[in-house]
Formats: sequence, structure tokens, C-alpha cells
Amino acid sequence: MLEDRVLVRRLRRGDAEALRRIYEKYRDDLLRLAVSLSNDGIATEDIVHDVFASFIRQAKQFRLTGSLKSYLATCVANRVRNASRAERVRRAVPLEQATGAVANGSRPDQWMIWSEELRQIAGALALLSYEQREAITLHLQGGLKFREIAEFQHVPLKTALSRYRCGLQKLRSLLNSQVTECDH
Amino acid sequence: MRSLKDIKRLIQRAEIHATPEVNQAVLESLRKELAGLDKGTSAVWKASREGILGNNRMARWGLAAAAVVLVTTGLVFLHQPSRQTIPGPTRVLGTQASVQMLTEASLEAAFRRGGIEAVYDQCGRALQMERKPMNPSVQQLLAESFDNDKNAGGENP
Repeated sequence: MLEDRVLVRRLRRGDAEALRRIYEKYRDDLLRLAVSLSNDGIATEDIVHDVFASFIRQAKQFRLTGSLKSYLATCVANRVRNASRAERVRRAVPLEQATGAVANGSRPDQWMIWSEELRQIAGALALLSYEQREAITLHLQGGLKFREIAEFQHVPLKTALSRYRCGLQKLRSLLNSQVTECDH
Repeated sequence: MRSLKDIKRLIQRAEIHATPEVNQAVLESLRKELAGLDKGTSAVWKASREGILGNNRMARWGLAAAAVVLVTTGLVFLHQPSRQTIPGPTRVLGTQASVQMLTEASLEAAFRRGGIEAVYDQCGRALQMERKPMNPSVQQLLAESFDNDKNAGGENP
């Protein structure tokens, strides 16, 4: 936390070393989050790159009030949402069709290597509703608190908690080859 | 069977590897972005400064003239002699005396003393007192007293 504040202050002064430290510290987490959230063939690497580029551009006005990781995770989630929406409009294909196609495949311009575990998790997450997936990944990968997730999703705290629990339960069932029904 | 704890750990720690070459290239592009941002800011500031002052001779001359006017005005105000203020009590006393001379009682007394001429004379002196400088010189006071004596001598030979 303190280190992040120092790094942000140095970045504001144009320190390239601070940029490298921030990038290397959060790159994997943000890539993992983007992969877990997106399931319709959007370039997750580009999203993470854009988030960092935008962060650099806003660094001079940026004031770190909470966790830097949470802030960057929220940015990634926002961009994934927008990119998914744009991609859906562009393709004009039902989401269900896109889901299965992308969760297992890889694009030719992809420069990151997914582990088998991540592939498995991403495949299972793709079968959850977007809100559940968002709640799970933002909490476990982005480090956001449930209150922050509720604000991000514009829902009451209980709904955010319910989405997380139900999603996790469903995920467990999927990974253990069981399917259960859940309201949220 | 995976437990919830395993699933959470899997989500949090599932490995992801970025190829070092591309990773380096991405970092380099971000560095360029950062460097470009610094240059861009200074260039914009420089351009606006040049645009306002450097390329416009009129603006430069106007700025110089305004500076000269400001400095001159400041100097004039600094070296201006301070105005002497009239002390309040003297003025009040003088005003009070002239007012007293024009009261009904004093005018009646003057009428009894020397008739209508004395009343006119008292009114004239009261007005004169009002016009007098508040800090008269010794010479003015002497001249005034001599005039009064002459008038008194003329009226009562």
C-alpha cells in the first residue's frame, strides 16, 4: 500500500522505473482478471495495455485513495464490459455461441500463455452469468471488497454477496461435474 | 472433488505467462507513452507561451507598456506629500462659536446693544469666522484685532 503510493508519486514525476515496477507487480493479476472476465474473443492483452496506458496519461491528476490493485482491476473490468458490448454488437451473434467458442480457443496474436488451470477456470467461469463472474473475479483476483463490488455493479451489498456465493457454488459444481440451480 | 478453498486458490493463483519479448515490447511502448506525455506537456506550455508573447509583437509591447505604467503609478503614489488633516476639536469649537453668535438670544442682545447695524455686524463676523482658516498665523490674528479696534474706534469716537 505504502509502496504503491511511493510508486504512484514517482510515476507522476515521470519515473520510468516506477512504471516498470507497477507494470510487473500487477500485470499478471490484471491479465488473469481480464481472461477470466472476457469470454467473447476480445484481446485481453490489449485491454491490460490500454489500462496501463490510460493510467499513465492520468497519473498527473491521479490521487491514490485506496488500493492500486483494486483501482486497476476496476479499470480492467470496465474495459472488458465495454469491449464485450462492442464485440457483441459487431458480431451480432448470440452470447451463448460466442462463449463456448472462445473460452477454449486462442487467437493468433495472443502473446500470453495460459496454464491448463487457467484454461479450465476460464472455461467454467464462462458458463456463469456475467454478474456472478464479475463478482467472483473482482473479489478473488482484483482484491475488491464486497462493498466495492456492490458499488461497481450498482446493486445492494446483499445482492453482490449472493452473486459471489451462488457463482462460486455453481463453479464448484461445474468443476466437479455437477450442476445446481441458483437464483442470482 | 475440489473444495471451495481449492477453487478460490485456483482462481487467484492460476498461472499465466507472458512471453518475455512481447512483454518487454509492451513495457517499452508504455515507457514511450510516459516520455511522450512529459514532452507533450512541456511542448504545449512552450507553444502557448510562444504563441502569446513570442509571435505577437503587439502583445509584447503592450505588456511592457503596462509594466511601465504600473511602476510609474506606484512611484507617484509613494512620493506624494501626505495631506494635512484638520484637527477635529478646533473646527468644532469654531463652528460652535459662530452658531452661538447666530442664536436668537445673542442676536437680540446685539440688537439691544447697537440696533440693526449691530445685528448685521454680528452676522457678518459669524460668517467670517466660518470662512477663516483653522490654523491662522500670528500676523493674521494681529491684523484682525487691529481691524476690530479701528472699527470700534470709528463707531464710538
